[in-house]
Amino acid sequence: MGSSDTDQTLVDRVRNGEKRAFDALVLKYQSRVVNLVSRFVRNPADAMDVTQEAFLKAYRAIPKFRGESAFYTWLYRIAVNTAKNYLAMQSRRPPEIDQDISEIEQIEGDNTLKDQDTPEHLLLTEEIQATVIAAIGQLPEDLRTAIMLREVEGLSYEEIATVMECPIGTVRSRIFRAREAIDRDLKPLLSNE
Amino acid sequence: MTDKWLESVSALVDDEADAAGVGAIEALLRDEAARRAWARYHVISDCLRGTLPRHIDPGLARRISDALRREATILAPAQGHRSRILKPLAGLAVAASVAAVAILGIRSGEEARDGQSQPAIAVQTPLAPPARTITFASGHPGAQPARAQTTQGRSSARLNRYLVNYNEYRNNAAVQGMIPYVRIVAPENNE
Repeated sequence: MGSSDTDQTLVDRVRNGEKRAFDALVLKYQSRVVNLVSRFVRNPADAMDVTQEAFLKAYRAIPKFRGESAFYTWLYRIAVNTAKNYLAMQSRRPPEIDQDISEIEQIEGDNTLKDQDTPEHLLLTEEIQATVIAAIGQLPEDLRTAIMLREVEGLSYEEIATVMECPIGTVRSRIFRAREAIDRDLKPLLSNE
Repeated sequence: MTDKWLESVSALVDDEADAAGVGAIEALLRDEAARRAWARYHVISDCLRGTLPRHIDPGLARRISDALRREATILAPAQGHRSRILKPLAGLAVAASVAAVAILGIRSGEEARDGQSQPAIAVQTPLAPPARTITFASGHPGAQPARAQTTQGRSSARLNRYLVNYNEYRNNAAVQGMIPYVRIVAPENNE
């Protein structure tokens, strides 16, 4: 079951009236949409409102989603349009963003809105990053290698199995155990999620 | 929520779920622990990939979920990959149905015309009942059927000879190639 299969399955479940399937899509894509919207809407609180509005618009429009493009590509267009509409309503000039999705995603991690950052805004992000990095450092070598190859290098389970010379099932298990170990330290930070 | 299911959810995060992927999705939709694990696993991914937003609002997903509860429930026919397969099949089914109706219509039309132009078939059909009628009327069971069979056999042999000759004459006169050497009409086997 690939990404498009998982997303399509969740979309089909939404079409069948299961709103919780859309919750799963929100949890999966919220960070990417917040990053995308933040390129247009500089105020963090407004960016959160626009992100929420974008997801609601996507939910209402989901009967029109035909699966001809990836779900995130479709969601991306809705988020960009929502952000632009928001700026138009605010009578602000939208930034000159004429980039395609791959270019936007490349700079998503390189957020340049530091003028709007405050210690309060950054605290949780920094805490999460510090916690994850510390937890990774304490992992056994085989678990650390497996999750880094997956998350940082973007290798598939099959490729990791080849690199680590072990069965795919072992890769799957190692990545899960690595996540569980990180998750134990992360839970307290995200308890009000 | 067992580790087995959480492992499936973890694989689902990586889009690497196997046959258990459907079960993992079910768990995701039904089980709160699975949903929370799904959320945190994605936060870990975003963090390691450098796509974690600078401003994290841990209540955002919850607010969206609450807003969704106020939205009308969507009940739409599933589209996507399945409809892309089913649409051409539906078109094919309609085309096949139309073709079948057309063929049946033509054949029944031909049969109707044949019925008018070939009275021999209509004549042939009542041949058997008279044989039985003769048998009962004569009072000599056994004699008349044998006579009827003999008469029928002679007629059949004459008809066969006629058809063979007709085909050979017709083919030699009109059609070129291999067809002239093939006898198209064969003697009919009367049971």
